[in-house]
Amino acid sequence: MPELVEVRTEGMVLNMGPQHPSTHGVLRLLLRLDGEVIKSCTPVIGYLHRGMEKLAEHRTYVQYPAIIDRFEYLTAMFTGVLYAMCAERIAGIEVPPRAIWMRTLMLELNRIASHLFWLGTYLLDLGANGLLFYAMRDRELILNLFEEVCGARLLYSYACVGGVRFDNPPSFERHVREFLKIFLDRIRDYESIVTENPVFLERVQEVGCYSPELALQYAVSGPPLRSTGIRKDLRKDQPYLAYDQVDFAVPIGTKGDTLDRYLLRMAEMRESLKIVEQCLDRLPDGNIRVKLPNVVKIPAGEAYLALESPRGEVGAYMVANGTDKCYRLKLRCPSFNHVQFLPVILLGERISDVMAIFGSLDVILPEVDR
Amino acid sequence: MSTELSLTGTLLAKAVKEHELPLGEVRADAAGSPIYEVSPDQLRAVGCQLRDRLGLHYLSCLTTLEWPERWEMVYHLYDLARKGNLILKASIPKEQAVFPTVTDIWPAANWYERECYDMFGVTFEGHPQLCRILLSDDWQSFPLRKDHPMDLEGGY
Amino acid sequence: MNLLQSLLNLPEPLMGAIGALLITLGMLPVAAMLVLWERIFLGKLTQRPGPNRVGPRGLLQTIADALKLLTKEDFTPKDADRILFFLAPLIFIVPSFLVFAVVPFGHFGGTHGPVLIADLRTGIFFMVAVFSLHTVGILMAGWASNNKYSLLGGIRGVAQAISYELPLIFSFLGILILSGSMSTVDIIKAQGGGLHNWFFLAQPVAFLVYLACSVAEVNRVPFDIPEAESELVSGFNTEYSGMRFAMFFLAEYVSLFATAAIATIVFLGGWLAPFPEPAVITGSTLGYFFWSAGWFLLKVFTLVTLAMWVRGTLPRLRADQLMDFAWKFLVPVVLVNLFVTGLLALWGRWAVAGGLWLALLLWALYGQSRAAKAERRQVVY
Repeated sequence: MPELVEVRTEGMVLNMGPQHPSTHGVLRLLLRLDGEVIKSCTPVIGYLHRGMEKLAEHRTYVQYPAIIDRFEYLTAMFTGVLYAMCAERIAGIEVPPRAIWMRTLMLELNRIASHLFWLGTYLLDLGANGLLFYAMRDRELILNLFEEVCGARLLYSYACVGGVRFDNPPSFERHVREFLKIFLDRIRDYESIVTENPVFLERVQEVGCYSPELALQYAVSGPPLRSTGIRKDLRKDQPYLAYDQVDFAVPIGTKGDTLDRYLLRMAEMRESLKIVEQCLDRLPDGNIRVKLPNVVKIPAGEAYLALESPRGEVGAYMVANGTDKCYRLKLRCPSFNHVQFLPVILLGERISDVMAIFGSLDVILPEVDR
Repeated sequence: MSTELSLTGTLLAKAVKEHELPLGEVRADAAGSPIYEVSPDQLRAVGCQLRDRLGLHYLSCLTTLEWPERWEMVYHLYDLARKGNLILKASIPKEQAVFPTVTDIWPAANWYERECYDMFGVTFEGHPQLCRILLSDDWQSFPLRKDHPMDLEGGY
Repeated sequence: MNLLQSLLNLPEPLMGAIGALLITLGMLPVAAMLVLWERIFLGKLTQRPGPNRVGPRGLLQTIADALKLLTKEDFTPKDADRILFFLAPLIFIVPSFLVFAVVPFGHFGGTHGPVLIADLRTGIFFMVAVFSLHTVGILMAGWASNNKYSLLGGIRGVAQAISYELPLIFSFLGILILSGSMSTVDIIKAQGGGLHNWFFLAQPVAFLVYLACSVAEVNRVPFDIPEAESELVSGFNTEYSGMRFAMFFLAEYVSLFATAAIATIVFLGGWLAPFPEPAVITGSTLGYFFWSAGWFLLKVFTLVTLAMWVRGTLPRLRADQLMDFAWKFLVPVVLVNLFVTGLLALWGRWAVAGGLWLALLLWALYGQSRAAKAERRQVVY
């Protein structure tokens, strides 16, 4: 009988990132692999840390909105509005109704733009090149609208403490309505290209499932949480701006897999279109911001406010101390929790699914690293 | 300046009262959410009760505040049923800088506590892996401390 | 090259060498054109202008790219296996060209014979055998690069090649029964007489299986798991740069052309026109050469464009799903196809075709049932 030789195999450690085409910024995933199956995953973050919270303590309430846009470049409207709302809430500033409706309008347009960007890049993660360009083409339409209002396409500095900085030009309403008409057709196009694509379905069905309990433990929010069937949408639960006056639905998923998260975002774009239309119809006249002194001082107080951004609950905890700068600003971003959640759901998945799952959480790294 | 409890805040405060939790007087923040002070040694016990008896499974946010003489931990808990935030605060003197961890109560706290350690140098007893998270491993200072300069001489 | 041979009257090895030279030199501009065409086509598909800067209407773009690649530093990673790293692109590129030894590009009409280097009696067999050498190149590149992504890509490439070559070869077997020969020229001649005699009508299942497998063979979307930009950062060729990367790149497009040429020969009647050829053309040697070569290239380009279209539309499948698709679906399908063909070959070609169209219908139903499964999923309001 031949001598028995012990054959030993070792796991492979794969550094995915920080320079990797589909980590959506600079994230490093330290993957321990057994063949193509993932045994453990350690996310390494911080490559984009810019010290935004420290900057908040050294910049005035007038200066900081320009910085907070950089917090999350795909939804710069949200963070800008959030910061302004926190300061207004602490100081008890009443924002004119026109500003409230305009903020709502912009947020929803921004939500569509962000979801479109996600759609394109997500399909790119799955290996389909074509859709990215279609999604970008339609995102351009929204960016054109933003440019029309505030002259910027990515970082808007739109909201300021006390209202919004720019009024709509006269042609704006017509252009938005044109966009609404075009975009409804385009969503149908996307659904016919993507939703009914058997290869796509093969890639996303039953992939990256997790239970609602697990998602809650890790404070997952936004579409990744709603895909598990939990109806948590701050627009409905804690209505801010004009969301208590507009009619829209919050779709939820059934299985908590990647397909659900895709379907949810598509459905959310449709709902956002409805909100945009209602905002246009009901946009009141009047001032776009209250008159504030040149040096805005916010009295001592604290507030935690959160908005439902396309990625989930983006919150700001502001502590003011009566000066023109805040004492402490803590930014709570959904992607931070989602990246933290990633090792839990990646366990036992295949390496090809890493990007399918990671992409479906719609993580933006500048937001994680701040 | 609203310092009164909002509608959901009142509901939450009522629930806290009904369950006779060892929490002090309720205050309201500008958003109308109830704020409770809790002593650090009771923090974990109160956290468990809030989670198990009131159903506050969702830890939205966790952060540290630096005051002249003390460190203050702020926990923002979200109630999915009552749809409101409850804020828990715990303070310790400045020279101590050690809090009990809540990572085993709310797993979401893991990275948030690491971030607090990273930024303020506050440590958490019982944390599974307390190390730098946003800054590089060989970073020396704690940048969000008030005495930390904006421009680090010869820094990175 | 029967006609040329009689004209030039050179010994056969020398003629072969001349043919090889012609193929090698001829394929470079073809590949360059394919790259350009792919970029233009994908550009139009995704509503972009595509390349439009270098030269008139961007026509010189590929040349500029090639020059850029050739002048770049040829970089070998530290700790790479230098010999294998050097050999891998060569082993990858040679089979792509070798296939063309048995590809008849056209015909000189009448008894002058087809335009090809060697009319091997094992033509199709030779093609498949040579083509599978690619895998060696992929594995060598993946292993030699000393890069984990490359290694994963190389291993994936081997797994995929093993899985997809089987149905690919089986899809030819039905044709061999029908044509009774493995020679590429005989297979084309068996399809003479018009469109209705082309083998894609008699063997629709085999045709579709071949199309799927050939895309897998050249590692293109949706079967590009050995490269998989978004997962493996270009996979087995991650560490290659400059000239050596250019060789991989060139080989990919030459292979694309080669697989389309094989499909044209086996299923689409090679150089034959879809209708009976007019006497004016069949009479003239040079005229018939251009006529037949024109048809051949037209068919090849149509198939190549089809592959590009697929690339612009479909996402990539997962590695295990690809294996499932090959072993649990394609292999049984081609086996049934072969069996049916063998049984019905006795009763004439149309009976075969009827049976196989039925099989195709079943395939379509299978796809429909999958789509129906997906349709049930909706969000809840």
